[in-house]
Amino acid sequence: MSQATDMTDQVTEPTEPTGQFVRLRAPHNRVERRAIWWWTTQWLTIAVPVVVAGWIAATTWLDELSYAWLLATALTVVAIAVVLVEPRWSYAVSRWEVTDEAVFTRKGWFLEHWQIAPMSRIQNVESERGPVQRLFGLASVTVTTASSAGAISIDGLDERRARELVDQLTRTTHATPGDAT
Amino acid sequence: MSGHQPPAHELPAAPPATDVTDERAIVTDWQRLDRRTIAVTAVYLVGIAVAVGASLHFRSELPGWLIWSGAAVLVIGVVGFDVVHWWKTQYRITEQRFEVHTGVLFRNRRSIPVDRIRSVDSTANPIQRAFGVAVVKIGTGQQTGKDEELKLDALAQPVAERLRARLLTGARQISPAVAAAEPDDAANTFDTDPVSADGNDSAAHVLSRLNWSWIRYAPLTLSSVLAVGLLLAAVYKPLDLIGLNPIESGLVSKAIAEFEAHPLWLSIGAIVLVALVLGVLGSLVLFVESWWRFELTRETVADPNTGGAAEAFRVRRGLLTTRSLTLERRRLRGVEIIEPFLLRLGHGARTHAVATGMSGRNDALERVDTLLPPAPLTTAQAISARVLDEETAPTTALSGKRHPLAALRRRLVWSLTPVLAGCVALWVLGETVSWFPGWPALIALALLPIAALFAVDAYRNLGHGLTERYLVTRSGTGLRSTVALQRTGIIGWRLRRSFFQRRSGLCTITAATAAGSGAYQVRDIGMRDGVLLAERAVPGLLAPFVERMEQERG
Repeated sequence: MSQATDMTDQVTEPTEPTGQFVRLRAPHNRVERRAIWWWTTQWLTIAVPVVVAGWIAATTWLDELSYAWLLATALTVVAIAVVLVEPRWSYAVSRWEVTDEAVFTRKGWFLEHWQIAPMSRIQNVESERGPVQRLFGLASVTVTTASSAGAISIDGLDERRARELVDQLTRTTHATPGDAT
Repeated sequence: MSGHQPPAHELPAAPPATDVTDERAIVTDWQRLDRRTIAVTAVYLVGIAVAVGASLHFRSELPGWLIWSGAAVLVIGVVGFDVVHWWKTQYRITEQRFEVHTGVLFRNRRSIPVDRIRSVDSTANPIQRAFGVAVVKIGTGQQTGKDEELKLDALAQPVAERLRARLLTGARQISPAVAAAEPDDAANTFDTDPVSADGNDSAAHVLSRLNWSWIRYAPLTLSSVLAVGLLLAAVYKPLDLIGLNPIESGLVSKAIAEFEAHPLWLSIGAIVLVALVLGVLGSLVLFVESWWRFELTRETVADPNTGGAAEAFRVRRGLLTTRSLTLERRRLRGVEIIEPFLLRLGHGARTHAVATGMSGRNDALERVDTLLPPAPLTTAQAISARVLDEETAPTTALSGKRHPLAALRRRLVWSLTPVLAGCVALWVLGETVSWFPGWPALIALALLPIAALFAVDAYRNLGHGLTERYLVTRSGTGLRSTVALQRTGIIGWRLRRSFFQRRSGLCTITAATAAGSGAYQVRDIGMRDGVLLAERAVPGLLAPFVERMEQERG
């Protein structure tokens, strides 16, 4: 079984015009703009304790480490940058789309994730509202397939929109035949 | 085995739809586990009790009668509990479901649809084999639930064998009359009849048998070296328990004294040599234990109702612990060929099935889905082709197209950055700390070309391909893995790109599947090639979301 003969088994090789640019387009719908405030709140709950702890440590060790305040300032700057940038970046990336055939999402910030699952493979649809999400009137919808490698979730939807989406997805998946594996 | 229970009393936990079990639907009545299971438990317990008792007897001040009567009470108590457990555990097959009721203090009622059963495998350790029983595990194709596996510990081997045949052909095809009339013939154990154990309506042919020359690959697998370590630890424990601690005994301290008399490099050399010899010997022993009488067969079980055939693969192996795995063909979604670095140097490979219903079922050291022992790569490919019913193995059908050079740059950065950082750190230490020698920094510097070579190898190993039925992807250097995944088994796509990947025009696409690890990646492929590959592999799914432009924008 040499490499040379195996190559003949090759069936498909891209036949598109080579100059053409091919990529995934962004899903149609944005999430709610107020999701930025939800994500900001989430980051603040992490960033504030970290920064406070940093300054406490810096003032404690100021005698031994003359540049401790520098480290604490750097930490604060990074924390502020993350709190300001991540939610907006995330909002710009987050998109979703549900067609009769598939669920299509994009999310992330530094790491972008596109996910596509066909209706015929969807096993479970659920929505979730955490306490902070509720504060902003938001909800997440999660779609599970038979793959053990993670579900698809759409975060930052309006509560009512999420409910409608769950209904729509449940109806569509019921109407679509398939054994999900 | 008797144990008839009125269905009304036993079934409240079953879902309403299948709750109504009329008499005709019952294929076998409630059965108990084999009585000899209790004997197996007793043997274990007596073994433990004797070991602990002997240890206490020789090493403590306690009077002998107290130790031994305590041990006896313990053994009788636990065996008694096991008797109750045995009495309370029952299973049966109805037309639609396989049901198990178990538990002494907390009753546990499990019921799974027969047509969702995807695998039945049995194992027997030496004690269980001596008593002629085997543990049967029944798995469904679902990966989402934790409770998707049923375990019967243990059944008589012929009973286990018949249960396997019955569950996999689908219980509904066997009429109650046939099931009742089936003779209890004890000759049908899989030890005595390796090819066909369930009568005339099944046929099996052998795809592969153990070739003893493959044992040369045993020392080349890292897992076997790890296994030797664990084995030594396992031996150490009981020895310590009965007061024969090899570390505390004179032998080791004498050896240490020996070492101190010689130069350091000689001692280190000797230790490495001893470890190497032990590792090689141990891996050979483990190979023999794991792969003794290995046989991969393909069975065709006739379906009397439809006239069609259900097919299954079966792996049987093991010297002390015998293992038997049955894998229904319709669960198979592809194969994975894994080449750990050393094994790859020796042109060897491991072969695994990519099948649904396998997750969370791997032991610490060996994967349940193993199809072949470590074998020559060509054999692995040939057997993969036969298992998948292809002319040539799809795992060899990688497109000639290299991934973009940016992928090589990423790999060089990953492998060189930590080594360089180590170099700098060691050099700074050497300069600032007076007692720290300068040579570690030089050694780290010498590692740079090696790290670069690994990066290049990792880049060269990146590959993907598409055949009529399979998506193929390959990556890795320390552990090179080539996966052929059925295109119809792909249940979704993920495309991921980091900020850096985006700048280099790369992405990582992941095929989600219900089988194997659940997701298989094509790493660092060009955006265009990645999208085209995913679009072609599953027609129609991606197409509405793909855009084509004459020029790149944004």
